[in-house]
Amino acid sequence: MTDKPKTVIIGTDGVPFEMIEHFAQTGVMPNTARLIADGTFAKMQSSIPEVSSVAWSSMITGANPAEHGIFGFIELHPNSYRMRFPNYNDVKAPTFWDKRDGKSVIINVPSTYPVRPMNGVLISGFVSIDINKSVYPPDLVPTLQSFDYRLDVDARKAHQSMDLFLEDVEATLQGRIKAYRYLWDYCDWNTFMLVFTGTDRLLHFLWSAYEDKNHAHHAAFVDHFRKIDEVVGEIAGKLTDDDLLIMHSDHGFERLDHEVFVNYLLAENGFLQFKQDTDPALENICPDTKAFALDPARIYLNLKGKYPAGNVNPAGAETILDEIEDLFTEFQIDGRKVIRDVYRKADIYTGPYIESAPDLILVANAGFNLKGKIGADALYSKGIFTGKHTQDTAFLLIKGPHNPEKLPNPPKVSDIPAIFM
Amino acid sequence: MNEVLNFVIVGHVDHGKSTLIGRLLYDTESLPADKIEEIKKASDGLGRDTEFAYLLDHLEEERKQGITIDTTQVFFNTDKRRYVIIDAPGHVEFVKNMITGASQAEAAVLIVDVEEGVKEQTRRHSYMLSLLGLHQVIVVLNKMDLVDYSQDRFNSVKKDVADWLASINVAPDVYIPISAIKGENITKKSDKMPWYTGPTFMDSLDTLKNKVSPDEKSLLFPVQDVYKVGDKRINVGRIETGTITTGADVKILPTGQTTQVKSIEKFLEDTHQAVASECIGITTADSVFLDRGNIICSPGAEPHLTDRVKANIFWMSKRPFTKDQKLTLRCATQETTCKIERIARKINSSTLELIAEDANDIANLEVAEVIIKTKKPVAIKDFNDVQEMGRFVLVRDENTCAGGIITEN
Amino acid sequence: MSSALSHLDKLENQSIFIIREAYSQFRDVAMLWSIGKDSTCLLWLVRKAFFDRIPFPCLHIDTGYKFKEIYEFRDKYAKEWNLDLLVARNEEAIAAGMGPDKSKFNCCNELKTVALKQAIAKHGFKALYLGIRRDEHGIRAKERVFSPRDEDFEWDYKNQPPELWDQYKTKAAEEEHIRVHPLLGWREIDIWEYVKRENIPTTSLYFAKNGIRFRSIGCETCCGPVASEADTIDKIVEELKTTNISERSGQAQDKESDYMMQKLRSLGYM
Repeated sequence: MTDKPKTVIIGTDGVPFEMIEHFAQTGVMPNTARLIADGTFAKMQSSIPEVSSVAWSSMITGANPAEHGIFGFIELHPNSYRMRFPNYNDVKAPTFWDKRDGKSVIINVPSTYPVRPMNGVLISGFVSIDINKSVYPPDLVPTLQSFDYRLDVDARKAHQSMDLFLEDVEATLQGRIKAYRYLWDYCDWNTFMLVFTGTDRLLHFLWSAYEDKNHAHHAAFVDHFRKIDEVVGEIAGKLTDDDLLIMHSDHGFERLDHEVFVNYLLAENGFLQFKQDTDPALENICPDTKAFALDPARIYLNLKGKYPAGNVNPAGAETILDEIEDLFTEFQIDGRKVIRDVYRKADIYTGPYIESAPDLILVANAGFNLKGKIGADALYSKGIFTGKHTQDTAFLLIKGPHNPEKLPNPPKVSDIPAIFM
Repeated sequence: MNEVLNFVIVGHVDHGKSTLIGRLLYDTESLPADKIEEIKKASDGLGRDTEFAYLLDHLEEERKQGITIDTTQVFFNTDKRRYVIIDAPGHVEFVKNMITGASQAEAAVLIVDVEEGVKEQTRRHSYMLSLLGLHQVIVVLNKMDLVDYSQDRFNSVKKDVADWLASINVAPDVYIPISAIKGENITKKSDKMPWYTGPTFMDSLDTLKNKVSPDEKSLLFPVQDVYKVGDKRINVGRIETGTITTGADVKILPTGQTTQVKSIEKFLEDTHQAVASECIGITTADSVFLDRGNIICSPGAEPHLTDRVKANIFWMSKRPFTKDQKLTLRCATQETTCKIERIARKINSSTLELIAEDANDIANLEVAEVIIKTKKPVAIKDFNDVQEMGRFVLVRDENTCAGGIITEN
Repeated sequence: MSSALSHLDKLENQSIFIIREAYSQFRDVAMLWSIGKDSTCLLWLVRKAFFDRIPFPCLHIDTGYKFKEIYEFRDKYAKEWNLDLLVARNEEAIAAGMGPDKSKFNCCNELKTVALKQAIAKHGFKALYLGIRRDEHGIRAKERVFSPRDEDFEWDYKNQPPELWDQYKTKAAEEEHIRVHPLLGWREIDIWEYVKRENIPTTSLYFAKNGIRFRSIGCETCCGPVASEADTIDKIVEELKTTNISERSGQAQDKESDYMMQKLRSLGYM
């Protein structure tokens, strides 16, 4: 390995600023605490919307969604209401490892499936389907399999049994750690990025276990973070003062009070209608529909020419957007306003793919989790999930040569590459 | 780049055929992204440690058993031409599928695991290639990575293969040390084997020759069918060898009648000459009534007409042949019932050991020298002269059970 | 003299040979004409093989959900080429309201497979010509030129008869019918090059309009267009030379999508 300064990035999916702070102060994450003491520790803004595919695409490209083209986990096929799932091929802006000289080792970054050749090693993260399309160079697959490397926690298990789910979270973490240790000496890299995504899975299902010390899974929850901190310590120990270590999350998390179904409200107020005697499904939208939402809270006008049953003329678009904005701005549950902000696409996005952006994007107030589900049977409910993403409480921790003055205040997830590029 | 070459990859089970094909597709960027997804997804979790083989092993059974059951055809291009790879199964259970694949090929690649050396299907498959008249052969010695790219090991296995191939009259174009899984000597010269100075696998493919249509031989035109179109009787078929010209004198077998070609019929085309491989129709000057199975040829250059055919046959059915069974012989468009009069000798197709002389039965995978008595006379040629009329199949209960090669008569 | 048959000539001749071979074995045949580019290409070759007097019916399985362009094209050329057109519809299922909104699988099964079984039972076909190609889909790479089907239309791919040289299988008693595949060795790009050379008509759905076109066509309800600017055959050929997505990507992606959907759903994203 050369002596040139290295950059190492440790990503922890979904971990909020306050949680890192709390675990650092209470001795769960002593290694992280040391980095905080020696470095810069800040609350960071996620992307809008604050879902992993958008946030990580922004982080690795340093660009906003209208530049990289990823606006959510779901898009529609052209001129249809059929859903598709954008992947790495849809990321239109170059990633930092595409632009950077030298080799990079990139492990488990969401939104990088299917992998393509690059200078170094790339193991894709959520949503990766097939190990053989998730690893570059491909001859690493047998080695990874010998580590019992798992692309992702099987979250379906949480719906059956939390014990099974926790076993899977642990096994996935161990496979990931083995892979990182093996790849650390695999080639002469100058950028190494390792992302833990089990954190996000735990936070979705077991936020309650974090808050409640008497919860059956509280110890397991805390233990997961302790293990991650051990890896942080192990990695920090391999670095010199000339190397840069960045630790961060892609979005934050908080307690979930209500799942709120945006399409339900749109339908209730006549903006969204389905053909008679059909199931509520995007394919069954009828031409009276003015707007619909895709997950989490991206609202699209049913524009004529753009969709098969489109009937909104560009001339009338602004009026409808105003009506929808009013509807959501005033929207309350239990006397609390649900929506923090309603954005028009031009408010938050700039770039060549702005045409593909949603017409309105909603960001919720604390406790409300906005969902784009179609066919929900109530306006809001509470299901298996106890935690939800936040847009404004991600964290950023930098240790090593950098200029804190140059960092925007507050920093955004897309500002990270500029720290080391 | 319109030239296309079909080649078959044969060899013992697990010697790496599918991996080699996967590697070829991968290195020539012939894999549509979504297609790999579909195939590879299923392989996730089965715990096998090679990835390329899955590209070819589409079927559930194959994935579970780890063997290619049936012939698969896949396509890729080099800068020189297009290729069709015929992946033939390596397991002894599926030799009939291997033969199906090889019968469609113009050249063959024999793959041998350099660690294991020559095995049963290495011998059987190469012997079948020899029987089928496939003489363009490339030998690749695979899994060089498992023997530390050792030149000594390569030379020692190469000698074993060469000795065997010499005994069955196959003279390969080249022996190439490769590692399909690692991509050594496939498209790029391997820096792991500086001692090897020959071509890469891809370069050697590009030197293979396409089968030349035998126009220069004398005319053989088996009648496939007769259509009445308006007041014309059009005798359709494919020219196997030679050319046909309007006005030419022709002879019809087995009747021995002679006549002239009045017209050559192709839809939407006005033509007076047609060449080998063309599917055409002809009308005749005299109103002779032809039938499927008639052979139109040039007077003086007739094929041999006989009701006794001496041939080597390879049996491909699990139900053995016994002498009382009724068979149908099909050679080009000719079809007749027949009996096997004598089974002069039969051999093991892997070891070439003599099993019996003057036998009474032929079992699966055995090759036998036989004399066939046909009910109607058939027009035949020596296989080495005209393959299309020097080969035949035997059919029992509507299923092909053997292939045959006529080498002397 | 060595023959100067081009690549397309060779494919054309081989297909005509197969078409004639099948007809000589089974007089009771029909060809499936989906009106798509492959089966229209096959139809063109069949016209050539029989000097424009096709001695058997062309069977169109009509689900009632086809693009209107497909019906227009079918009726126009059935008349122009003087075809014996048979339209097979599972009227009972259509009347009962079967559609893709119920279940895609059931819809295909009822409106296509059952309709075809009904037509075979009614007309007693011993063999059917189909325009499938080996490069379309993984499993099709294993097809034989003459491929037997049992009474349940099952394809016993594990135990296929050997097919040596150009000697094809004849129908055995236990077999329902034989599928004949004259285009098996063609690739998508060959089809388009042949369509261009022969000036074969195709429906306008294949050509890009407003940035999208269809690479395979069928029911309007289940066909996804691809993003494309290819509005001429030349541009389609050019696109195929550079594209890295297979023709039935819509369908292949369906499976992958199902899996992604499960994963997203398990995290509450849908």
